[in-house]
Amino acid sequence: MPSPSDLNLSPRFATTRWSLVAKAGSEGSPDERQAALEELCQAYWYPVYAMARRRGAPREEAEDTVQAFFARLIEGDLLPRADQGRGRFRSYLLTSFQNFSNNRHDWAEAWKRGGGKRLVSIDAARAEGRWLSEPVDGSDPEREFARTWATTLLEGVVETLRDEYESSGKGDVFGGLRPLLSGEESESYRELAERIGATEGAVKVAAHRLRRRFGELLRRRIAQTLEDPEEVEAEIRGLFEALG
Amino acid sequence: MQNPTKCPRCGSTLAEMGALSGLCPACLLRQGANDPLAFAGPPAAQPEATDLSSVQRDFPQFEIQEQIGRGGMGLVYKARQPRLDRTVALKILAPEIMSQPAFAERFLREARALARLNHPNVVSVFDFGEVNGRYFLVMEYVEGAHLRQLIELGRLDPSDALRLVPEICAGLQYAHEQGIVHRDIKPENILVDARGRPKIADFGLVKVLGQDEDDWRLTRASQVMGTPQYMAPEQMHRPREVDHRADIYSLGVVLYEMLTAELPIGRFALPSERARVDARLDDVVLKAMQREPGQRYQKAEEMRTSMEDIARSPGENRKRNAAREMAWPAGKRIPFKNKDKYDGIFELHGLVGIEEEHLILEFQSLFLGLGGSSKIESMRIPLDQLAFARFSQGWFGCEIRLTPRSLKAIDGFPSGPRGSMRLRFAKRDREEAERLARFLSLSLEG
Repeated sequence: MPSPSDLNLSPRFATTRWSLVAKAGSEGSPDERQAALEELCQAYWYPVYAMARRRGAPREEAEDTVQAFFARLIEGDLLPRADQGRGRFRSYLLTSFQNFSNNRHDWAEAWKRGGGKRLVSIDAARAEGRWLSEPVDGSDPEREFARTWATTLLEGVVETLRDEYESSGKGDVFGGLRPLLSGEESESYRELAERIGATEGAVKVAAHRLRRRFGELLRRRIAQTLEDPEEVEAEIRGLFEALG
Repeated sequence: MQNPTKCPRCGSTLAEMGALSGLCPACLLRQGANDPLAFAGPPAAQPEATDLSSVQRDFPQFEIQEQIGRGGMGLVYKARQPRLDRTVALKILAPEIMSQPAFAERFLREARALARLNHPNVVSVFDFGEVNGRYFLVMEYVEGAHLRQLIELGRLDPSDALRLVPEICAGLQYAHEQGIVHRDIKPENILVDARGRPKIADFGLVKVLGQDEDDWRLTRASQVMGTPQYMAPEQMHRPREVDHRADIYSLGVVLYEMLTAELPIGRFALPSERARVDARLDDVVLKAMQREPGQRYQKAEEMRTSMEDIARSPGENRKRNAAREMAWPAGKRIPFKNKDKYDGIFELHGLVGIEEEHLILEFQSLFLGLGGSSKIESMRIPLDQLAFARFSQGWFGCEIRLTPRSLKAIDGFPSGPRGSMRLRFAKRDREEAERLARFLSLSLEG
């Protein structure tokens, strides 16, 4: 029987990226699994980088460690065991990276075997800039991971939303309404309407649509990282905590 | 590094770079996560805010006073009918969605079904129709608040649930006897009037049982109607087979939320594990929320009886009895560490315990940037100054949130923006922290 949330996600999303990977064999071909895992890694490498830095690795070393880690991960050497938080890509990524970086031999070995192969494209300069721009709150690496996981996820949602608007030629609408995404500022509707030359009513409707779409994409993106999409609400609570 | 900019709403640090730059991640998440309809599939048409004068023009028989609500189907105005000298709620179908025949049909269906009902726990419909292409309903105006507002304000306690839910059951039982299933029971749809009487509103999704064989077509194949968090499993999977027992499921969810202020999601904790409530209410919630309709209460009336039995015999509160046996050892303290609530400026380390009906706190701030620490401070808060204690388990540890009766009671404790006091505990202290929270909850109840 499908879980309730399946029906709320479009059929394309009923099988989540992470369930493809975690339920090895039962769904999808090996190629599909590989592609799904790569896609997830590409989307969430930054929290791993931030955690490596928080653990004290200097910049170059962090970059190399993270590359080596993802190379091993994607090549299937670190596929989750049942006891390793397999239900969520987030927990899996965290546990695997902790194990991996606690064992230097492991990654040096992996680096050699992979011939320094880069499977995930990391924009190290940008990552470093972002890492430096973020608040130092004395938090531990695990917390840093959770917080950057949450912001990375949100960033992905905002990017997808922006792309959707841009591809339908409404990039300016998105640009104008973007600040409203993080809160209701009713008095600014009028200013906004004047600025983009629309009626206040039209701006309200557009803002409502933008928010609704944002909510849809948010839940969908979260579901992609879970084996059981029914856990979305629980995951949302965790995200709040991570940002709290 | 420069000082990061703070969010004017919640005080969190704004993101500086990338797609989020200038946005507040916490508010963004709140915004995206709080819209329950975002999950419901079809983008509901949003009524355009209509100004009062145009409504007044179309409805000269009313004095339109103010807009009081807006939902997926339309706008609701408070209006007066001078000839009858009564105040009513005027609900007008949004112009955009009228172009879709199914919506208009659904609207008329709602009106007819509702107009047939006459019960003190159901919002009455006086009239309905169409004017200049605008479909409308004239409904009883309920002065009060809906349950969602009461839950969010923390205005409900278990005794309110014991009083309100049986009455809601009575309203449902009545409607069910008329062959009408609500199909969207949720806190927003339960109004509580000034005298504290609950009234079920918005039979917007009713399905008139056995009247129309083709009825299901109104619910377009792709469109699962209802609010996901409150929907019975069969409403998702087999919408055509939904009967009155779906409402009983939803009411079970509402009851859970009234008791705990949380939604029962995934493997949820029992109400009595979450809040200071009679453990027999756990059984009511669980029975109402059985996955299989055949395992639930078969009639709203049965749920009502269970609740009334509990209300009549408060002495049988198993939890309370357990509490009297359990005392908090006088010298016992458990460590807490609030790391992340103070913008990275300082951390709070301390010990907490209970002695002579007081919550005892000793704590010290550790300054992160400059190093050093404050002197050790101590507080004694009389337990009767506290209104609620809530325990929650999170990703990194656990937390007890204490809500004081007045802010003065926690004056001197570095608190969060919402005037509550949070104490965070390490994973290894979870059991102790949970015991403390339970003890506090039970003491506050007594």
